[in-house]
Amino acid sequence: MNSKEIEEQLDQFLLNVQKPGRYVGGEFNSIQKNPNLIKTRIALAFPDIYDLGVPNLGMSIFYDQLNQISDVWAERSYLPWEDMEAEMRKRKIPLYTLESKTPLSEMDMIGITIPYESLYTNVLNFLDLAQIPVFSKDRSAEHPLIIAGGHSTFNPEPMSAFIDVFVIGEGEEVFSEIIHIYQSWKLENKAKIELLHEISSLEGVYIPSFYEPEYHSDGTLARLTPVFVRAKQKIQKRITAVLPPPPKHFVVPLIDVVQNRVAIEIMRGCTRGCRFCQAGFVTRPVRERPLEQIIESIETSVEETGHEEIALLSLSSSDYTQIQPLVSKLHEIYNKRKLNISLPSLRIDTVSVDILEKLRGSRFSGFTLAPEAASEKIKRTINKHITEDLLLETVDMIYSHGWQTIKLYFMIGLPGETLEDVQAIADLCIKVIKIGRKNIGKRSQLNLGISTFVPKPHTPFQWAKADDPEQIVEKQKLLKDSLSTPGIKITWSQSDTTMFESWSSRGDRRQSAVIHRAWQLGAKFDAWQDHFNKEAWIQAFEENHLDPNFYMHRERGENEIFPWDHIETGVSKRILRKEYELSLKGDLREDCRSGCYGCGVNQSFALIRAENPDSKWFCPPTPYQPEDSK
Amino acid sequence: MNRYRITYQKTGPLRYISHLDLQKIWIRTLLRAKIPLAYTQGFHPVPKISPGWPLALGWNGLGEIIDLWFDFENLNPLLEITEKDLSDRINQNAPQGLHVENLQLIPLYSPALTTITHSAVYGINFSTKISPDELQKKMNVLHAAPSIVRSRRNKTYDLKPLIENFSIFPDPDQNTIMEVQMAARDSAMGRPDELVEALGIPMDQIRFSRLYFLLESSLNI
Repeated sequence: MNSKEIEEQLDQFLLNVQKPGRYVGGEFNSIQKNPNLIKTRIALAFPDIYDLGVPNLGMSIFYDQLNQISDVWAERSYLPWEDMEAEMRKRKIPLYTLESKTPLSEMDMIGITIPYESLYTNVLNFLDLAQIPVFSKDRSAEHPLIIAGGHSTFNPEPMSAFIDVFVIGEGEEVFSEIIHIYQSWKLENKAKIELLHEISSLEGVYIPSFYEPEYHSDGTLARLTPVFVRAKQKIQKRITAVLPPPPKHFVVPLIDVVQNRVAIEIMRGCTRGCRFCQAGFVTRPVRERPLEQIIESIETSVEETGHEEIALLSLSSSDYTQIQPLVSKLHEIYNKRKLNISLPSLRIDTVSVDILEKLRGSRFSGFTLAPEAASEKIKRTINKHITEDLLLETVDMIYSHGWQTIKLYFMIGLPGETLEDVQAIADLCIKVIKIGRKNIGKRSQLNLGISTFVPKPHTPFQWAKADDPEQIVEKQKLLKDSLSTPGIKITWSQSDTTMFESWSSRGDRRQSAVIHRAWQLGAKFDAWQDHFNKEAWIQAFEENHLDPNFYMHRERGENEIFPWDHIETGVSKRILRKEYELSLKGDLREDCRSGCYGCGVNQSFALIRAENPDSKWFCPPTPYQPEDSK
Repeated sequence: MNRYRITYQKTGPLRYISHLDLQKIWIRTLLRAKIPLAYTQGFHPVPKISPGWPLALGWNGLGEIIDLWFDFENLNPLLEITEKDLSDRINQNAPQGLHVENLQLIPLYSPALTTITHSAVYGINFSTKISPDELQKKMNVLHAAPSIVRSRRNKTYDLKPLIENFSIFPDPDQNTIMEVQMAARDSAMGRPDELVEALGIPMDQIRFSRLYFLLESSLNI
């Protein structure tokens, strides 16, 4: 089917599906190019529906960046919702790019972003709808090269059977390097294996088919061996020494999507060292964008999109060194304009309230804080230690400054957590709502987001077992019973979603077969609560003689080789283990801006740093020897 | 504050965009074009826009109308925006399928667009599934009936008085075309797809366009 036939077909049935605007393209700032002048055609794919995919910052970055290369055309593709999928399968319409309606199978490359594990089956469904074989081994030089990146790929193993090339870490530099290699390979008309060999020489690239795993009799990994001499033993993640300027041209959707806004990343990385937070460990070192660059990007993108909302993103906005001047400047420029500026991830303190006060537009209604824990013990376990006095003082200031709603995020199911620790959350929340009532009476609202902790690879908790489902139920019940008071509303993570995340985030290569089987049995849209097909997954595990509990509820051995050990984020496994031990002892680790503890990032990227002497990283210039530093 | 009546096309991908989403598209387009929108008074100011009757999803709109209020007093004088290039600016900043045809200053306090809309003229393209003669015969039979009782959203109504005028002709590609003028008032809204159903012609491969509106006060402006 060619693009003209696809368009004709669409016209015949699009009115029968929900939100047909998802499937037609034509958005302002979407890019059309003359295919005759293009050497390499790329589809950027987000394996969930349009509404979730359009706001994805990674997609926006690569769309803007790759289309600046004159002989490259990057188009977009998202997964259709079920009604559309049914129509497409019935009519044998292949998944197509939104810009030109070209079947994805005609692309040179498809770059898939996989930010979270619950998109795994969607990736398979995506390839299948595109009429592309889902297994990497079944694809030849005739098929598009399938590249994947995003945070979940810091453990690439569960998806290793389906992806040709993983980009580990930041893709801003490596994507165009892959294109460059691809272009010369294509001219020489060589086999796909030649292409993979050449790409494997790049830093930050992982070709899973170049490695073979062996397992111990207890099911743990014995080793992952390169099958080619040239394949690297370890894959170090890629970073850009200096953050490139943010994207300028954001595609403006024609329909309402989950976030109708421009997102500008002000800083990457975090020095706080909260032990549960994967992003905090895998995105080091901390790099900031210059204030002037941020202001300029905001001005351009507001003009270019017509959006009335801007989100300034980072893992810890209060740590951006220019935060006060930035906020003052934004206040000065946009005070009179009808623009909403959101600044998530602020630290819990009264300074943050001052900051948000300045940015508060007419629509600003809520204030979000993430203490994560309430008891002294758990605060120490996770290394996020916010004193109760400070939290309550901040809450008091928020309610007294005219906000009616506060949202607090907490986690349950953390290592060593007991019912007393959960009771502490309830007690704290009661204190918060009382402060609200004291200030503004019954209008005060406290929204609680109670998520269930999932241990993640490349964090100190990668050894820990996930909490038992029965325990979680009991802890949730305790909170529910203690907090059934007017003004408090609670949202929970679904136990099924938690379970799924637990086994897939620390999965190994054998899970590829499980993912494939679960998808065959109908699993897809696993992130959508009402779609999670538990039975399909359980059956898929059984048929492959694997036990989900092996991945979820097992305390892993100190010296166990993990399936993701060959992926290096720069933070050493030794330091992660040390952090885990400190956590069990209840010892805190200070923000590493106040003193380097030698996490390893500085040594790992010393060369890049030396080559970019002007780049400001928030690591001391000469890391001292960290042996037994605490 | 100035009020403009804008005639525009809604075609291509925009056919699949709902009336509500289209209003947001208008606002973003005008913000990009740096044309200062006037806002409503009150606690939650919103841009003052007043669209004409909604167009069914999937149909081409060739002469759609919307009223927009601009506030040139807040305009940065350095931008030197003139009324003359307003429509160019809009078109440069519009997504594919939205195109301004005409832009006209109208009195600030003239009546609302939908209250003065009287009728709409639709083009129905039957492709080659029925000849003009056959269609004419079917229309004659339908027209001879005292009433055309239809049911829509669980309510019955008479379609006949909503059909005000029609003509049937072949286009250069030998497709059968019917242009039909139908009532487009708050209490009386004729739908050409209802007419096709009343004629007993299957809906597949039939394309609808709304060609233009007839306004009661068009002579007074």
